[in-house]
Amino acid sequence: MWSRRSRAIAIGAALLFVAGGAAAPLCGPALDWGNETHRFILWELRVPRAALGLVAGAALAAAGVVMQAILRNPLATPYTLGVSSGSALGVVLAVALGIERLVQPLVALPLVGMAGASLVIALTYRVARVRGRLPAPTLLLAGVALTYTFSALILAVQYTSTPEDALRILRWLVGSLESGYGLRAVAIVGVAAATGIACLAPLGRAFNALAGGEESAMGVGVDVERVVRRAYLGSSLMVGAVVAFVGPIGFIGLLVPHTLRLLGLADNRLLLPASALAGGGFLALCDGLSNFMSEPHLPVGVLTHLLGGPFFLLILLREKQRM
Amino acid sequence: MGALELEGATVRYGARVVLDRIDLQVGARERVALIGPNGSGKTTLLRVLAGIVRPDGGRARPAGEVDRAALARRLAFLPQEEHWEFPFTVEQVISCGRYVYRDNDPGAVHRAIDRVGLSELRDRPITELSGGERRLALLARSLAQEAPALLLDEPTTALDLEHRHAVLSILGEFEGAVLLSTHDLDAAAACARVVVLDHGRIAADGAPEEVLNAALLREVFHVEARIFREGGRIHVVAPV
Repeated sequence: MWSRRSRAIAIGAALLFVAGGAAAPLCGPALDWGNETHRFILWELRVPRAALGLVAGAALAAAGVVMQAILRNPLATPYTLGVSSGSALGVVLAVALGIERLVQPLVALPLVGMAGASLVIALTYRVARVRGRLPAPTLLLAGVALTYTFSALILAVQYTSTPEDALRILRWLVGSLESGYGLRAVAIVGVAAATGIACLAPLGRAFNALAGGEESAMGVGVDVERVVRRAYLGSSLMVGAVVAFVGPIGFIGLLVPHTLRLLGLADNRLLLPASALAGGGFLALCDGLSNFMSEPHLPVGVLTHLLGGPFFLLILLREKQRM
Repeated sequence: MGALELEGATVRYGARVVLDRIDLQVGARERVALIGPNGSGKTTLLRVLAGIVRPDGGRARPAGEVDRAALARRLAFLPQEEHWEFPFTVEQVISCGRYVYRDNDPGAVHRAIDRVGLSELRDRPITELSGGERRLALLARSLAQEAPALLLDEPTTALDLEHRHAVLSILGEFEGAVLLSTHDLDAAAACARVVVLDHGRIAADGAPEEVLNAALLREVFHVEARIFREGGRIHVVAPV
């Protein structure tokens, strides 16, 4: 059913996931197994961070595949569509208003993240819906407009916050796997990622048919409105819950699906799970690399951009030479 | 009852009436060409039949009676333009024609690929095909649906002579209903029936030799065309 190349790419993605998860906690200054502090660093700090990287990276990469498929735009990500900004605004407001001090943060954070993402969904639907459908160009334009608006609101909240809150907001906005909630955050993000991916993966055939445009997809029998609605809601809510814990970590949703496509995997039935695996492994490894740096460790959000940007340019250059 | 049917179909975009109470039936094995000036409503008529546009008045069959998946088993619709952004292989694109079936059925996909003569290009990304090859691949996707009716929006536009001939030959051998819109009047004349749309209304409907005459072309297209017969076929020469 799958070509040898597609199978090889999928196996490579699975290996990256396993290798990323296994190697990330061991990255950094060597740990002495007999030292209690070192054991604490390993089990209470590094392992939860690696696990959070695996599940968060999987969700962000899968969401990238989905957004690109429904918009038929290679630059579409949860960020371009404003979903991340909406979720980020929810969390920033929760911090600034002290909500997360009043309510159990493990409950409050994913809820405000998803509430922010839902607000973006509601606004986008209100603005971009034409004759019962969500045309890709209007969806993208509405997303870009909302991203700018929400980013300005986030800056305004940050600017008027106490210095202590402003610093916390800044640290969170950069994107970090140090959620402070250990394996409990991993469990919540893991459930969100698994539920989202399980809901989205069966749409792979519909995403393939959509690649030629809405009309041709309808012509082969895709209920485009239902598929786009389910994909948009599923991926947005998943991203909302993830962003609440790790901040708006960028580039994963763009870099990972593109790399796999450039390697020769376009079929969304396999691209979506393979991107999820590769995205998880990539984010965990990026975070592991930050352990090698002296204090203060660079947050993984900075590293994904620092590594992802040049890597992406290299792939594009290679592709250009091939053409 | 025909394989495709419109009954008083009316479509408005705002205040503009794009289709005005259209009645049309296409028989189960009938080959019909839809011609008319740009903006006369050809694409909208096909979209109504394909269930993409819901008519503001009147009915479309089977589009108005069944859901989208059932409709895709009854008719295959090929839009005028498709832009593929991602590098799907030819075979993957054609497999999309099997969407409503439980699996991709490699047999049906391979038959369609062979039918359009793209066997050697099946693993090539569709983004790397020429315009003519791409059109053949998309036609193969419609054939892979194995539906008893084909709706095609300008299937020969922008094709060179070889690919135009290939597309028309494949349609000529299709054993079901075919409704194609076209500006290619020679291709229209090769169909058993020609329907002329003008300002959202049917201006003429009949055999090519009845419909394609200088007076009607002058009235609808505002040009002085020459019509002549050769080998039992009508040919239209438009002024340069």
